[in-house]
Amino acid sequence: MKPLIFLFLSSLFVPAAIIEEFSRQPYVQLATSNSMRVVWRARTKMKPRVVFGTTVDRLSSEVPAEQLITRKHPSIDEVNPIFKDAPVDTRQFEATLTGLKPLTSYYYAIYDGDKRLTPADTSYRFKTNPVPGSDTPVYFWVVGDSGTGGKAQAQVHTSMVEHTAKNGRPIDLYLHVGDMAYGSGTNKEFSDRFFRMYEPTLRNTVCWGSMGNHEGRTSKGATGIGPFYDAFISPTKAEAGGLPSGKEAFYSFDWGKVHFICLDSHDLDRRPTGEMAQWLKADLEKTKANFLVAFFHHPPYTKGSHDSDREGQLVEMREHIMPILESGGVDLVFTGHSHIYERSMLIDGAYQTPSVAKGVILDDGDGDPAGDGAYRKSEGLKPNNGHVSIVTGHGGTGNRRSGTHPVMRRIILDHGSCLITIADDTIKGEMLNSNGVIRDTFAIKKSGEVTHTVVENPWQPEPLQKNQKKPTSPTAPRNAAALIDKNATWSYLAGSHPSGNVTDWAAPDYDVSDWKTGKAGFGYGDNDDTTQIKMGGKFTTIYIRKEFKLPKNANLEKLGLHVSYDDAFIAYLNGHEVHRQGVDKKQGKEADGFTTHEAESFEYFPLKGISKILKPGQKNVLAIEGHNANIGSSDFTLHPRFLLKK
Amino acid sequence: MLCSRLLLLILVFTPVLVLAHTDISETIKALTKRIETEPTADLYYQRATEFRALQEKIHAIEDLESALKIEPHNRHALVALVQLYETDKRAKALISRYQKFAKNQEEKFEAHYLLASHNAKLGLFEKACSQCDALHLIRPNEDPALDLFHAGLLLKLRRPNKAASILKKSLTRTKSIVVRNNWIDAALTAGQAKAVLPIIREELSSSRFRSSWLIRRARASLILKKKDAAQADLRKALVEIAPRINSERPDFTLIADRGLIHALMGNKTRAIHDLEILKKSGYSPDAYRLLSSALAEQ
Repeated sequence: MKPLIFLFLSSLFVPAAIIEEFSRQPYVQLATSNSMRVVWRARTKMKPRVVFGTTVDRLSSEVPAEQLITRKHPSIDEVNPIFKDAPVDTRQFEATLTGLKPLTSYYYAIYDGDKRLTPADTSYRFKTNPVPGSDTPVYFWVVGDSGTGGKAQAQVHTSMVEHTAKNGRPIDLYLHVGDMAYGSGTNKEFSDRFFRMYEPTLRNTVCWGSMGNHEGRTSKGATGIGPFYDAFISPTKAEAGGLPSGKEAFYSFDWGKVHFICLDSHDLDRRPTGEMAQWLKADLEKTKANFLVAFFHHPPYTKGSHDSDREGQLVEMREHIMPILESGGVDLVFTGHSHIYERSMLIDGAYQTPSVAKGVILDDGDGDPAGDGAYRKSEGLKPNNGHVSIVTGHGGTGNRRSGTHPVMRRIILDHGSCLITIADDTIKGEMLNSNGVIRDTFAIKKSGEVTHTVVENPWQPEPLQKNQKKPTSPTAPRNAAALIDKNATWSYLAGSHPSGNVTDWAAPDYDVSDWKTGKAGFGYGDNDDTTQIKMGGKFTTIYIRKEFKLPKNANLEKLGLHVSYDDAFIAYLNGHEVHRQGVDKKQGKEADGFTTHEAESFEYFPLKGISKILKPGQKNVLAIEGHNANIGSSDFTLHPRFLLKK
Repeated sequence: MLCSRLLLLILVFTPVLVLAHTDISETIKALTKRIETEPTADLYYQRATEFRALQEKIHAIEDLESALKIEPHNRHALVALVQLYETDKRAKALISRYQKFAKNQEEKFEAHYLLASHNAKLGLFEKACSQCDALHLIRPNEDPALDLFHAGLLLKLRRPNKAASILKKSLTRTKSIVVRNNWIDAALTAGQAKAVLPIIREELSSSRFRSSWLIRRARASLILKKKDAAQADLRKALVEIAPRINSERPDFTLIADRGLIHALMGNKTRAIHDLEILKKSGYSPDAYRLLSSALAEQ
């Protein structure tokens, strides 16, 4: 392993640092190609100093005193105070490091007088941006609706950290599309649910924030006052590229050949006559970047926990802002608010209410280079050449799907985040779930001159199946014999997916000699499982299968499953799906659209029309895949019986 | 601009209902349950906010009225209700109530701003302008929103010189690019071509899309009686703008630009055609004020 890579990998695994002197640990903000801000908070008086350098053991430069400001509570500081809900003795220190070289790594340390507060640790570092317009690949992380301070949020973060470490490629920057500090974006909620959660990343990677509705309860976009605007130092004077916005609520910045635009969809005028839209149009006229990424909180297209056809802010962003972005050549639009992952096809002109697929899909493929192939666009920023819209509101709070948006290609209910690479002429996007699994991949290749025509009858996502009614007879028939009884021994696979196609493993001749065996039920939590599977926070699916002998004279119309389950399962007989419960679509690792369910008792599901797939008097196989709706769930259970009614 | 200010006031400082609500309908159900048990002004206000998000105006108004019955001086409910009443005379009564109980500078400013906005909605631009003058005295360093609002009123009153003057002062103070562009447009309307031409030239040399700046230079050329130069710029603008317009679902700001190009070129029929598209789009007439003015002058 090369020393530099080792240095990077070792620094990634440092836990969140608790340095007692800080009430908010150091983090970096407002990166440019020649400057950086280092920000921290303390509740004691200190003589702040920041030193920095290009090698960790030689921090030879110091931030001049005039470039280090201290902000205090409004009862003390009338000039540039922090928001009033912070403790009165809070001090926010903001050091501006200048004269830096582009695309260069620096290490920094914070002192109180002569006392060093941060350790001599390689994780206290940052990398400056490349010169705007330069051809430098960028790799960035996008998260939304994460600020619960809970397990799922932590797992999504850890998943990113481990994934980037495994691939030996750190992220260059981080976008947050809002709702990072539930429930009202107070100072305390920011400290507990944003800074503490992401501390190891924030100390060395700039997070560019867009305000969500929850932060909007205490922060004001028009004035730039509130805990959100204390936490984020965003450009107002085009410090990092783009046009000066004059407001931290909306801004742009350049990273190499990529132009990023952040908008405030929450509490500013979204109409074309509004200040934000006027600035946006002017900014788009000016940029000469090759790639354009926009991010804001309220999604123009969603049927997750919110509905973009019904809610005013979402409708206005679609009807007023999207036309300006698309006529400016936008490539990607990231949003949150809706607690789900939804990723569109290549679309243009989808401004109607309600949204329809007709006339707006330019490429209805899956965009996956290993599938239907990457989407294609012209080189540079060609107007109305299509964009991909991504709702990434699945960063930590409870996911929900209320319907099916017609422009979406992938709809996934799973906690996670997005990792985006832009290199050469290609954008590559991945959705990484909280278990470290890539659940979606797409790419946009921008090369030459590409002219699209609208796809007349585009592919459409499967509609959301309404919850199946509970069986009218949830208890098993009394006069039934168990072909497979409670606590039977099964072969099972946990923590990975079976080899082969998604249902191969359910076929009678599939080799399960390397699977484990255990007694049903399988799961964790609730103390109701015989074979404990430690899947919480790690994975969501297990596979079990068992051979059984079917009597020659069995009445094949009187068979049924009797299952205790939490949350969902799909059952197969001799490789054929015979029943699914709480899974909307697909199977195995591609299964999607889960309904939560508690394993309160055994429920009976009669199986009909299965006579042709069974072999009376011979060996048969019952195989079941069990799914947990959420990786962070507190429990899971799969305990089946297979009954023959006499 | 004013709407954003009002919306802000509605959304700020509302207590937390739930940690992270997942669905507006569920939130409304939960609030309804709490209101049935123990109704408070704040709960009604919160439910009204959710109804507004769902664009259910009648329900939102009912809830805000209920909130004000419980707390007649609830500032957030009052401001939200004024906004929803729009031009209804009940809005004026509410603003008067607010002006009476407003105590600190912030509240007085807000109440006055509400009145100016209400008068503007009623078409009483002169009154609204006077109120803006008063607002400038209350808060001379207010953010550009007030300046843009005030200048917009002055343009409606056909006083582009004063509009340009206000915007120029605002630009010096705020450095806002939006103020700068509005100042340039107002200055051109006032016939002040020379003052803005250097910026226009600079923008033309550094912009990716040049059509809006070509239009501005053409307007300056027409003021300076350089008709041929104006026509040449307008032709170039038209060529650039055409591929940016999605023929089925256009960016209406570009339709407004295209209509203005046609109007300035003397293509009245095409300009009127674009104006009709804009009128049907539901956009505010402010979004195509320059096009309407150019046509009116012909």
